[in-house]
Amino acid sequence: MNKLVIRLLPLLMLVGLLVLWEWLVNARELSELILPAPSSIWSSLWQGLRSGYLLPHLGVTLSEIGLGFALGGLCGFAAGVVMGESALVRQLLSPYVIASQAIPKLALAPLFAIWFGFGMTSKVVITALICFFPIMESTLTFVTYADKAKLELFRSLGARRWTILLRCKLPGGLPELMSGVRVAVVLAVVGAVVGEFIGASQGLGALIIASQGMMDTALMFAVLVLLTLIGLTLYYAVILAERYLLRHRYKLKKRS
Amino acid sequence: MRFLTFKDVSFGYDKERSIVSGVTLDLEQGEFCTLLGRSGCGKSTLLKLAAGLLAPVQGEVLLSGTPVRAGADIGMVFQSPVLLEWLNVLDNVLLPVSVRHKPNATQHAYARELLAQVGLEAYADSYPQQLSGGQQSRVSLVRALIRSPRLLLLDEPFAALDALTREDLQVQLAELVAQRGMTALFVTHDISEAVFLADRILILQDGAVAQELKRSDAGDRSTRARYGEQQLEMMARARAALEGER
Repeated sequence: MNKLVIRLLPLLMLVGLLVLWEWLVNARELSELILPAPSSIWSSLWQGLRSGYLLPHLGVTLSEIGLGFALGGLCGFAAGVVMGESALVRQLLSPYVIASQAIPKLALAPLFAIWFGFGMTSKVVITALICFFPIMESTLTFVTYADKAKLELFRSLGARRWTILLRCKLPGGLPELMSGVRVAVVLAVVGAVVGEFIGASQGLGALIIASQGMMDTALMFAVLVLLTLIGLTLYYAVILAERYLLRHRYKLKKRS
Repeated sequence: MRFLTFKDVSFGYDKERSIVSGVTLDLEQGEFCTLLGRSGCGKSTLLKLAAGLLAPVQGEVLLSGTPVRAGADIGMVFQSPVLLEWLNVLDNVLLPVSVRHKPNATQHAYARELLAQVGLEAYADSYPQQLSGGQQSRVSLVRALIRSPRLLLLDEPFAALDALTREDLQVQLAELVAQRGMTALFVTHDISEAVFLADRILILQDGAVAQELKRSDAGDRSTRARYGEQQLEMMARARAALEGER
């Protein structure tokens, strides 16, 4: 089978599943409330976008994702660096970090709603908390387990600690960091939407709750499609950024 | 003139077992000295002490009379080339400069000149993984020379290379060191390499210098010298010294 066909297989499968879904709904005369046909979902999505009804919700959720990811990412990176560089801080904070990992972060959303209100802040905070851990973990890994030979080279050159971090550990650990970013960016969507579930008047999560109340299942699916597209776009944006940042290493891997 | 001095130097990671014990040693300015010994005899540790990467638990290591400090007037070449895969060849060579400040035009020109000397001028913009093992070793060698250090420390830098490449690199190394009047301390377990490169060979046993051998034809690094009688005789003596360790 040629490469193009193999690449197109997932898309062909999606088309096949949609056709099967449409046929099942029509053949069985399933209620729109239980399972709307793909054509109804598409129509709902298209109308929502064309009329501009979905756009403010989309804007709010994207803002929450962006702000939460930036805040959680920066804090996670800073915490990973400090813990990686200082054995004392690592020793001190590790039990708390492990304990906080064990807490289901989404269960904290009602608490954040009480603390930060029903506005955007509580959603940004829950998103940031979810993004914090994968980035902190990946940063901690590359700072702690940097290539010993390279560290010795830098020490033999009399490089300062800061220089070693910026010139050796960070570029060397970029693949690990980017794998953390990949996980975090997808989780950011989950964080924002779950935050909106708890209490919000705007945002795609709030719209899902509203569509449930209106018994508009097609709209609910339309919002889910939008959320999936956001997740996929962000994920592939990170992949592209990763390819750019590691372009020399990728090129050489391909060659070898 | 004494340049590098070990004064009763001992080192160990724990009190029970010392890796280097009571080494007293002087290297003259411009001398090429090889440390020859079996695996685990403390050669690399001695080199790290000379580089200031390890601090002695007893005694002191002096460079021109002052305690040695990592990075000061020292170039180091490691067992593996340790090139940074995210930098091109030129930037790898300039690394010892760029960890302190932005390299200037003169330093760029000097890096290119050094690369030309080892036949790698065309590879300045290539990345390390695009080079062969021998080419990577050359890059790591010229990287150690970029700051024009007076002391060059080499830790079995050619051990992983094929015999012909190793011979070529030995000659290039000897030329580069001689041209600059540098002092070199070269660690190896290869008798032929130790004898060919050295003005003086130090046989290391259990972390201490067991024997010293001097070459009478020091400085002759021609192919004739490499396979000449004197080389073979010195190799036999070095071999006997190593056997005598047992």
